[in-house]
Amino acid sequence: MYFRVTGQMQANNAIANMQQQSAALATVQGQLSSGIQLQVPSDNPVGYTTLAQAQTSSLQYATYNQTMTDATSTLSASTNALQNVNNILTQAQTIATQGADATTGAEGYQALATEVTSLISEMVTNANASQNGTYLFGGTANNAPPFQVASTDANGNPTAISYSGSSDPSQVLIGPGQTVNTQYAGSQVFQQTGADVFQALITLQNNLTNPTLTQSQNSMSQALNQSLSQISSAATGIQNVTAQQSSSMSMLSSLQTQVQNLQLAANTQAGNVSSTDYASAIVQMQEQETSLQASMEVSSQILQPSLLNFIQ
Amino acid sequence: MSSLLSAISTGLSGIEAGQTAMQVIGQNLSNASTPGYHEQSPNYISTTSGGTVGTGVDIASIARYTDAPTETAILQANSQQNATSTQLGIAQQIQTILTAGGTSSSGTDGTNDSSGTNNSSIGTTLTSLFDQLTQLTSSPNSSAVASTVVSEASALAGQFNTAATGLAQLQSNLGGQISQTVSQVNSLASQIASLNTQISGVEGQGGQPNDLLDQRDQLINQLSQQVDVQTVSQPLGVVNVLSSGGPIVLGNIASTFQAAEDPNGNMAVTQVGSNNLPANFTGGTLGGQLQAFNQDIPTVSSQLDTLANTLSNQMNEIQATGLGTSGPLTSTQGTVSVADPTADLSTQNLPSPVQAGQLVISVTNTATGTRTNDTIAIDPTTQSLQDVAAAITSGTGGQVQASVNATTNTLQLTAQSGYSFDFAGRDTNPPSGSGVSNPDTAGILAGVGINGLFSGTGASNISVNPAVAANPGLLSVSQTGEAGDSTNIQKMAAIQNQALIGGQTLTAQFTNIATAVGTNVQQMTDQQTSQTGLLQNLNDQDQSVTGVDQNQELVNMLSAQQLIQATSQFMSAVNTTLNSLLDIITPGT
Repeated sequence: MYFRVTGQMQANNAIANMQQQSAALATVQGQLSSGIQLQVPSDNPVGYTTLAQAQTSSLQYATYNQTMTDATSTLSASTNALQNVNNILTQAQTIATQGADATTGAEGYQALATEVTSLISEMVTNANASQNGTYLFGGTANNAPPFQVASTDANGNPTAISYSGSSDPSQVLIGPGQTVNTQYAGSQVFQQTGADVFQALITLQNNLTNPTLTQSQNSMSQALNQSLSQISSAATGIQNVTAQQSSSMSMLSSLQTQVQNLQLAANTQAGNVSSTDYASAIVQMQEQETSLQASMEVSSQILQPSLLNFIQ
Repeated sequence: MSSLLSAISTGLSGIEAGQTAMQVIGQNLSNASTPGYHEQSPNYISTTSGGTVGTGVDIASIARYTDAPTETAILQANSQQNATSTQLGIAQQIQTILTAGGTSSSGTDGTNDSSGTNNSSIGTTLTSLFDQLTQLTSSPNSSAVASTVVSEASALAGQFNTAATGLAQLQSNLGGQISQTVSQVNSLASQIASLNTQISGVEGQGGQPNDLLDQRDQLINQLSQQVDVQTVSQPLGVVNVLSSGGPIVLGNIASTFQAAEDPNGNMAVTQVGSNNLPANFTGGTLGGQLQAFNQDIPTVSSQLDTLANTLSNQMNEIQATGLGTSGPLTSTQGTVSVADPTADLSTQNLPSPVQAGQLVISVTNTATGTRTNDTIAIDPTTQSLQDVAAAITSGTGGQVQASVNATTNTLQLTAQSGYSFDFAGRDTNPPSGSGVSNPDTAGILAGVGINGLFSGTGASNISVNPAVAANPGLLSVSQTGEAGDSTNIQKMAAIQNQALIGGQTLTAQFTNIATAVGTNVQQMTDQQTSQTGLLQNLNDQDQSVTGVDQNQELVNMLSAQQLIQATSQFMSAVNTTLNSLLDIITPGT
C-alpha cells in the first residue's frame, strides 16, 4: 500500500489494532457477565424504546390486576349479603303464606307480626353489610351505615326505613378509562320503584297488626296475598342486582386472565430485548479472543526484526 | 602538484560530507519515534571550479521530507475527530444523567433488574405514580395509600431535580473546560507566531531551520485538535493560520481569544481587542464544546422542563378542582410567586397559562352545611394578582378573604371563621342545579398554584406542594366529598394516557428524550470509529513519506561510513604519494 513502512507506523498500527480488539472483546464479556445486552439507550436505541414501553405496560397490567382483585372481593362480599337478603325474603313469604291460611287466628297474627319485625331489623343489618369497615350498599358514602330506621310506631316497631347514602356507586379503575361499580347505591338495590324490600316487609308487618284486618280473616288473606306479590317483586329486584354483580365478577375474571397474559407477554418482550443472547454472545466472544490473539502475535513478529540484527 | 594538492581538498570534502551525513543520520535515528519529526536527508552535489576535474563533494542542503496534501488532510481530520469525540463524551454523560436514576419510594433502587434497564429512571417513577393513583381508586379513603401516592410524587420530583442539577453541573464544568481550551489556543498561537519570527529570520539568512519547522508543524497539529485550522504559506517560511473563528496567527502576530457567557446564557468566544469581534469556532474540541454548551445540553434541559411543567400543570388543575379526605379548605397559600403583583397576569410568565374565563368557588357554612357557589370572572389581560384577590374577596361577599402575601407575592386565601371553601364545582346546598363540570375555565388555580399537587417552574425546582406533603389528606380524591368517590383520582390517572407533548404521552415523551440522546451517542460512536480509522490511514500515509525508516537509515549509515573510510584511505594514499615526491626533491642528508 505504501512505498515505505516506518517503525512508528508499525508501532501505531499495532497499538491501535490491539486496542480495538480489546475493546470489542470487553463489550462482549460485559454482556455475558451481566446477562444484559441493553444497559443504556445507545446500546440499541430502537430496542430501548420497545423495552421502555414493555416495562410501562407490564407495571400497568400488574396494577390493573390488583384493582380487579380488589373489586372482585368487594362484589363477592356484596353478593353474599344479597344471598342473605334473599333468604330473609323467602322467610317472609313463608310467613305471609302462613298468615293467609284460614287456620291462623288473632294470636297467630301477632306472633307472625313479631317475626316480621325481627326480619325487618335483620334486613336493615344486611343492608348495612360492610367489608373491612367499608359499607357495601352506601354507594360512594361508604364510611357510614347507609340505612336507618326513620320512624317507629307506638309499640316501637319500624314504620319507615331511610337511606342516607349516596346515589352514585363507588367505582374502581380496572383499565385505561375503564371502571367497574363496586359499592352499589343502596337506594337502587333495596328501594327500587315497585320492588321496595323494606316497604314490602313493613307492609306485611303492618297488615298482621292492623286491627281492621285481624278481625276479618278474608280481608287479612286478601291483604297478605298482596303482600306476597310485593315481596315476590322485591325478591326479583334483589335477584336482578345479584345477577348484575355476578356478571360483573365473571367479566372481571376473564379480563384478569387477559391482563395477566398481556403482562406475561410484555415481560417476555422486555426480556427478549434486554437480555443477552448467550449462544451468539459466546460465539462472538470466542471470535474476538481469536482476533485479539492473532493481532498480538502479529505485532510481536513484525516489530522484532530489523537490520540491527544483521549488521556486524 | 596542484592536482595532488587539490586532491587533498577533494578528499577532505568527502570526509566532511560524510561527517555531516552521519550527523543527519544520527539526528534521524535519534528522532525515529519523535512525533511530528520529518525525516531529513543530505543533498550531495559535486563541486567544480571550472576545470576539467571537479573539486569534490558538498552538501548543498539538507532536505526535509514533507507531504503537504496529506498534512492538510490530517489537520482537517484532527479537528473533525476531536469535535466528534468531545460531543460524544458529553452526550454519553447526558445519557447517564437521564437513565441512571436515583431511588423510588416504591422500593426499587438504581440497580438493574432481571428485565434489563435501570429500575427507576424518571420514566419508570412516572409510571409508578400513575399506578399508585390507579390503586388508590380501590380505597380512596385510605390515608396510607394517599401517603404512598404523595411520597411517590415526591420521589418523582426528586428525580427531576437530580437530572436537572446534573445537566446544570455538566454545563458549568464544560464552561470551565471551554476557558481552558481557549487558553490553550492562545498559548499555541503565540508559540507559533514566535516560531514564525525565528524561521523567517533563519531563512532570510539562507539557512534551513528544519527542526524549527518540525516544531511549528507539531504545534499547528496540536492547534488543529482544538479548533479547525487552515494554513496559508507566506514567503520566508512563514505560515499564517486561519480558522472559522477568524485569523489565529498572521505572521508573527498571534490573536488572543476569550470565552464568556452572554446575557442569554450562551457561551461565546470573542477576539480580545478594541472591538471584541465574535469568534465562532465550529471545529475541533472547542467547536464541539461550544456546540454541546449552547445546544446539546440546553435542548435536553428544556425538554425535561417541558415534561415537568406539563405534568405539574395537568395534575395541579385536577387536584385543585377536587376534594380531599380532609374536606373543603379553610385557608391555602398559592405556590406561584409573581414578579409584580400589580401588573397584568399575562405579563408575569406564569408556569401554567391563564386565559379569560371563570372560577367557581363553593363556600360552605360549616355549622349549617349550606353551600353557595360564587362565580368570579378572570381575565389575565386586565387583571393583576391584586385584582384577582380583590375579585375573590368581593365575589364571595367577604366569606373568603383573598390577599397577596407581601413577602412572597403569592395569593393567599383564608375563609372567615365558620366557613370553608373549595373549587370542586358541586351543586349548592340546598340543591339548585348549579353544579359545574369545569369550575375553573380560566386555569387560574394552576396558574397561581392554589391547592396544587406540585409546585415549581421547571425540572430543577419541581417539588410536591408543601401543604400536601405535610397533609396527604389534602390529596383531592373525590368530586363530591364522599368517602368512596374516586372520580378525581380517576381523572389524574387518565393523564398517563393523554397525548400531551407532541402527540406523545408523558412516559412516551421521556422515552423519546432518552432514545434521542442514545441514538446520538450511537451515531457519534460510529462516526468516531470511522474518523479514527481515516486519521490512522492519513497518518500512515504521512509517515510513509516523512517518517524515519530505521533500516533505511542504517544502510545510509553504512554508506556514509564507507564514504569516510574510502576518502580517508584516499587522503592517506595522496599523503604517501606527496611524501614520495618530496623525497625526490629533498633527499635525506
